[in-house]
This record gives sequence, structure tokens and C-alpha cells, in this order.
Amino acid sequence: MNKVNLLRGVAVAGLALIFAVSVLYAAGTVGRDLFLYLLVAGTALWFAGILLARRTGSRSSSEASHEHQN
Amino acid sequence: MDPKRKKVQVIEYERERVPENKTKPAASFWGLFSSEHVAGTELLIGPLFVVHGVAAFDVLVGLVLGNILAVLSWRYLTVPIAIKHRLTLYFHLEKIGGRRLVVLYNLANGLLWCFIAGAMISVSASAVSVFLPVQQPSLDAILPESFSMVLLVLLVGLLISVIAARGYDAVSRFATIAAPWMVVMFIALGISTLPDLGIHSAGEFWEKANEVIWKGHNQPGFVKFTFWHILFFSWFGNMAWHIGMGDLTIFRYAKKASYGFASVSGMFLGHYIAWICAGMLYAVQLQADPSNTTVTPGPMASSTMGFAGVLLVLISGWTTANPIIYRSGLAFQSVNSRWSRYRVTLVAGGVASFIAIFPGLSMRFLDLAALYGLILMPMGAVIFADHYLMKPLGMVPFFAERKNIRFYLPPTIAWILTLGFCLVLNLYSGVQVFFLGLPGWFMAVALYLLFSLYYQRKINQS
Repeated sequence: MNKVNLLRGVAVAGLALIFAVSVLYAAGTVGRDLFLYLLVAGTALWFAGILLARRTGSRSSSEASHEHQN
Repeated sequence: MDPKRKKVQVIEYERERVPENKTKPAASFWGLFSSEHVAGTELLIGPLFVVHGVAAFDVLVGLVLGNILAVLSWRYLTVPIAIKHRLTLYFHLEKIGGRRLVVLYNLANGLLWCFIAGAMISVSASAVSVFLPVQQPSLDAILPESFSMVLLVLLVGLLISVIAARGYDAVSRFATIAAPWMVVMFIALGISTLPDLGIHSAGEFWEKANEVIWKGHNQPGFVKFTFWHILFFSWFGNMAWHIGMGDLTIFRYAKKASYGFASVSGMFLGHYIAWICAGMLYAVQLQADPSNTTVTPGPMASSTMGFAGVLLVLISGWTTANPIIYRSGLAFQSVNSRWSRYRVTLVAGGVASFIAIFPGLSMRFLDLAALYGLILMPMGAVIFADHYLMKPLGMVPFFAERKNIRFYLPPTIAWILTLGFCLVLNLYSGVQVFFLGLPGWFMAVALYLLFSLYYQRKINQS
């Protein structure tokens, strides 16, 4: 369960990164190249985090139901 | 009957009321609306407002009011009927007009969905085109201008159609996962355009909004949009779902009518923030090159957000096109249940892909969206009249079911005559398609009641 929450946290951090970097880019604090790289990084964090969290969550719930059946 | 088939039908409640204990919490409706209404279409609509020469005040205020009217339409027209009967739209229509009316409705719906899916295929193809040396279509293009673009659109369409034909679940799950990312990306898209638009503080926004983004000059060949165009477009852009009662199928699971307010999430994230951000993106393109007026989301997003922008266009177009092609296939399949769903979905995808090769579809998407809602709206008016007005006027609601009629004519007559009335208003009085929904709705209600009065008396006497 903790691992699932951690992965979800990674995913949300990805979204926060996308939002923060766009604000910083608009404010002129971050250069264009870094802005573009961090957008891709935020995107990767979101999809990796949320997909792995779902996978881990469904695996642990099926294991739990298997143990319950045993 | 095959026991497995029976089980599926019971679970989905396709031909029975949803039991009270199977209703869903309000949060699921908030999530559903925010994911369904932040889609690839927003990347066309926002820029097309700029093409139509809307002014900043008109778009910023008109969208607020139009979206509020849309939310109120869901809350006070659709949801009360949905939770009273708890039936799918199709079963509801079957009770009113008989099985053949549903077939007719599905054919119209399936074909219209092919057009919407076609627009989404062209949005996705525009994302892929960033990596290829293809010529982008011009703003006034109706027919294809480049063979390589036609080939690209057909390839993307084929890929999307095959995925849709293979099943809905995986894409639906991916769309749900992608939805929060798309919302944040749309907001980031708007924010990242600010430096290019010369906006460096909140105080500068209003001035630049008027002078750089929504300047109020329409492109040649595109009608000038006013406050009223924006208000009615944002109200009626989803007319098929609220006034047209398409969302009866979703809201039959709502516990209370107040759940209709969940549509706020879709309207204000998708039809406000996303439209405004997409409009700002187009303004950046115009500022860089005033002669580059084409609306191609892929290159636009790529120039501002790089690879992540291309992904946004690709995913938002694909996750919209896929379920639409799937639903279109189901609608066509309902005509004859012996037809293979796989093949019918492929055919629907093929039709959508063929339509997508015409760039006029994307460049005139606002007209298409308005027309889509208008064509399906009369059935919503029929459902409204059947629910609220039949009994007070001494007539029988759900007449086809009560009398076991396979094709009860008044709904179909009301549908066809309403569309004829709207066509006359459009051709001879010059009323634009964006404004036809309102008079059309009243006409559909009146015609349905009038013909029901005649037919019900005639059938009861015989």
C-alpha cells in the first residue's frame, strides 16, 4: 500500500513539475531548453508513476484476495 | 439465452432501471466530466474563435455565461428525467417511439460521430506531421492539398480504427489516466505562451488580450463572432448531451439531481481554460508569422512546448477519436445485431478516416459541432415533452411501449420537420447554425405534442 502511495506521489510530482516549470518559464527564470526537457520529464513521471501504481495496486489486491481464498 | 450474455445485460442495466443501490457517488461524475470534456477538439475550437475574430471581452465573459447555461441545462433538464426513470437514452427512446426510431437515431448518431472522429484523426495526424516533411493545409482549404498529408491521415486513421475495433477497455483506461495530465498540460500551454505574447505581469494581460490575442478581426471567409456567438456556442456546443438528452445514459446512475452540477468540471476546465489556452497558442503562431493562419494543433503545440506539446496533441486527439469510433461502430451494429462489431467498427473508422482527409472539416469545426448538436437535439425535446407535458395534456407518455408499436411516427415527424424548419430559418432568414438550437427546441416540442394528439386519438379510436 505504501509503495502504491509512493508511486502516486511520484505521478503527482510530475504534474506539479509541469505546472511549476511553465510558471518559471513565463517568469523568465527558466530557459527554453530546460523548460522543454522538464515538460517531458514531468510527463514521464506522471505516466510512469500512475501506471506502476495501478499495476502494483491491482497485483497486491489480487494477492490479498488469493490469500483470503486460501 | 446464453447465461454469460444475460449476466452482462443485467450488470449494465441496458433494458431496465438502474437500482437505487447501484447509484454512483458525486465524485465519479466530477471526474468523468473533467476527463470527457478536456479533449482534442479543444485544440481546434480555441484557435477557431480567434479565426472568427472574437473580441477579448466576448470570449472571456461569453464563455462564462454560456458554460453556466450548459451546466444549468444538465442540472435542470437532463438529470431530473435521468434519475426519475434511470434508463439509457436508447431504451427511453424505444419506449417513446419504438424500436425502429432507435435504429434511425443510431444511424444518424453513428454517422455524425464519424465526422467528429474524423476531426480528431486529423488533429492526431497533425501531431505526427511535425516529424515529417508534409505540407500543412491552408485555413480556407476544403479539399486535400497534399498527397503526403492524405497518406498520413489515412495511416493514423487506420491505426486508431484497428485499436478501436480491438476493444474499448484499454483505451478508455488510458484516457482516464491521461485526463489529469491533459488538464495540467493545457494550463501549462496557456502559461508558457505568455512571454511570446508579451505578457510579463497580470496587469498586462487585459491589454495584450485585446491587442494581440482576441483582436476582433475575423479571417476572410469566416463569419465575425460576437458575444452572442460565443454564448450560444458554449451553451449548445454540447447540446446533444444535455438538451438532446444524450447524458441520460450516464446520469441514470446519479443519486440526486444536484449531481448535474458536476458538469461544471468539464465546462470550466475544458470549455473555458482549455479553449482560452488553445486560443493563446494560435495567437503566438499569428504573431510569429501573420500569414500562417492555418489551424494545425501539432505544429502549434510543438513550437511552444516541444515534444511534450506534440504528445498532448497526439494523446488528446487519439483518446477522443478512439471511443467515438467505437461508439459509432456500436451505433451502426445496432441496426443488425448479426453484423460483426469488429468489422462494423473498422468500417466506421474507415469512413471517419476518409472524412478526415478533407481539411475543411477541421477548419470549419465550429459549424460541425453546432450542426451535430442541432441534428440530435429534437429527440431531447421529444423526451422532455413526453416526460413533462403528455400527462397534463391528457395524453399517454411512453406510447410505443404501452401500445406495443414498433414505429410510433410523431417523434420522427417532429424530428424531420424541426430540422426542415431550422434549414428554412438558416437559408431564408439568415439565422446562423449557432442560434438555431433554441427556436428548434420549441418547434420540436410543439410538433411532437401536436402530432401525438392526432395519432394517439386516431390509434385509441381504432
